[in-house]
Amino acid sequence: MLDYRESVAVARLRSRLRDLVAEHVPASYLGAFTPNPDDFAVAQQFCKVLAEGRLLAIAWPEEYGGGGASYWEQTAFREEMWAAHEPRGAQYMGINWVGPILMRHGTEDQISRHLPPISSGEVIWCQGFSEPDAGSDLPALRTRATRIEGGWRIDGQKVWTSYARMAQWCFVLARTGQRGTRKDGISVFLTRMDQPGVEVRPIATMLGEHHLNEVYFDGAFVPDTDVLGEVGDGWRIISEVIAYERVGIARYARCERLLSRARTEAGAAWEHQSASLRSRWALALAHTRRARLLAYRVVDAQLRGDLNPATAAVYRIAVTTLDQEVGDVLMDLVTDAAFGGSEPNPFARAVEDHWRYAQASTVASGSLEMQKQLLARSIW
Amino acid sequence: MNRILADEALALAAVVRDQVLAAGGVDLLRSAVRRPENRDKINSIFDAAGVWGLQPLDDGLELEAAAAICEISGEFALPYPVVERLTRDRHDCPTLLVPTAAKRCIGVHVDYDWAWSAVDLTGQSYEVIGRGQSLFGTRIAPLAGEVFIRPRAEQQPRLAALGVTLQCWWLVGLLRKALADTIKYSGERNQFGRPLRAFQAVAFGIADMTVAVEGLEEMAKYTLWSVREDDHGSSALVDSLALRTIALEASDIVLRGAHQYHGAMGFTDEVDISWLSLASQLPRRLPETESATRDLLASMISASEFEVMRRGRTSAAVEGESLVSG
Repeated sequence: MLDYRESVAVARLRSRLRDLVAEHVPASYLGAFTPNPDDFAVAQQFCKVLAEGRLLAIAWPEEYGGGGASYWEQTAFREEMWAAHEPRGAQYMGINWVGPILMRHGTEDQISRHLPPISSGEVIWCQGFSEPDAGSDLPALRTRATRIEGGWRIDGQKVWTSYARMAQWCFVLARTGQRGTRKDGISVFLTRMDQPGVEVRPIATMLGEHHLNEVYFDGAFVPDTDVLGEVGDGWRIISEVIAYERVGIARYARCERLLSRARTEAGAAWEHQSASLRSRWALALAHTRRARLLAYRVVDAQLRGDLNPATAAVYRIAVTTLDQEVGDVLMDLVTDAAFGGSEPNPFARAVEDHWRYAQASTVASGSLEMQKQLLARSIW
Repeated sequence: MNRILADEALALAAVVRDQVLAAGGVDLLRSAVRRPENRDKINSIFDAAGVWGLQPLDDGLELEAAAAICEISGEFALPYPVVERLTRDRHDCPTLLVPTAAKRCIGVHVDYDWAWSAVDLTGQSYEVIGRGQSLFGTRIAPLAGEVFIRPRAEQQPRLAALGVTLQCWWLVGLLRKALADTIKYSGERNQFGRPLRAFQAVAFGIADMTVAVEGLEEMAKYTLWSVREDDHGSSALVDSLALRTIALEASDIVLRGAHQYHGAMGFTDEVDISWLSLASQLPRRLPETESATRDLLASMISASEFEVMRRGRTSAAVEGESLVSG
């Protein structure tokens, strides 16, 4: 029969994570990428705390320093972190997919060098995928890797690279095949960021400080020991990376937290909100439940071993559009407080932050149009 | 977690579905509009399968069977009070869903000379004390009639939650069929030398319809579980209203798209879409409109906490320890 109960193990994990967040993350924290350097320090320190409790790499097998968590524990972990404005900061990428991909395709040497710093929260990775002419059409990328003695020379430009300024390593896709090749001429290079030939230029955006960057590779060097998988076989690895991103961020968890808080923060003033706005708020909560249930359908399919891209696309469409709907409802609920006030208003700041960040939700990690295309292709 | 209906529930629905298909499927609706007494064929099929013996509020398995039966009833827009007969109150009367305010009460199939009950979306229960003018003959609700009600001194939120939830399962079936027909038609119909599905605008529209239907299905299953878990029914009632808001929104998306992509063919009596579209109107407008349902949901969850995922009443007992809160 139908059963949506949460197990005791998952409930315990939630409780433990909420306690850690309450103890180590200030209530005013809105993410690691703000003008205040303390926020970045909070995230770095919180990762250490998680790592000490074997929680940072909770999804990883224990042999790699992970927590060996179940799919449902991993889901709860993603939810609790995103609801608390992702106090792992830039670390989540290394944890979510760089590490797991290295476990599948890395050499023993790569695994032993790269995994421990990730699971202990000591290293930040960024992803060198998008380029000026290769966004949704990723196989059109032009960054080139040329064979030289002892390794490869990388030349090209990446763009929209999150965390590049603070990252020590980059997961770079570069073309090793003939000109004119697409998916079959791509390789993966694990590239040090602190070397001559790598230049990071921040891009000022509405999403927040230090978030997006351009990365220029002009003769950067990658030794043979840091080529991941076979040369020319990078697209197969990337397809797996994209699969890891299919569940992705638990956006619904923050939507839920902020919608619930909107009611509490308003107190008696709630009754003065227009009936139509309260109605939109209620609908947004119903949509939040729907998105969460669609996320759970993806997790359930993963557990059964029959996850297909269409199931993930349905969830991604629902959750990314939810993010923007909730941003709009919340902005209307806090109205002018979102634009500033004579006194600090932490909730209005959180709403304003959410709205800005939500504008990217239907673009990042596969645009809304790509998701619809993928879903439509699966129908016929 | 388990998000799949029990095998027994699905097996019963499959048997009934085969018989409904053999009896004509959507043709049963075409036939009943011409001759209302033809509805009795449906009663015979359901009676023989033992559907009327289901006790959805007393047994979790029978609740799931009732939902599966409502889904296939919606798939063929069966002209019979299936939801109402499966929503029986403590007097064992088939129960209509009626508006919360003192508005005119319209029910479908109330020409059946039974002892009816009624419940509104706040859980207030009513006795049906008479039937008024028949509305037979209107194109949009050919089998509807007016009823008169008197409040009973009892609240039955769980009964209301059941009625709303089963009505939404009926819509799930109808919308899934409308989506399937639209997918099929847009793959067969050629314009400008290629099938409609090859046009991105059409493909994206059908992707939106798919998201609407699949999201609704997940909500419908969750809400059914909530009805089972909530002995009192007040939380389940809120959940059922949340489900109804999603069901009505999905109906707008799916049936608008179904009409649009069927073109003029979709208006004809020979295709099922026109019949599904008309039959959907009554549960989409009654007992409350989409906006009234949202307002009622907003007022209920403004007054009390809305847990996006409830934990369920049996967790602690099953696991042998308390769950943490928060």
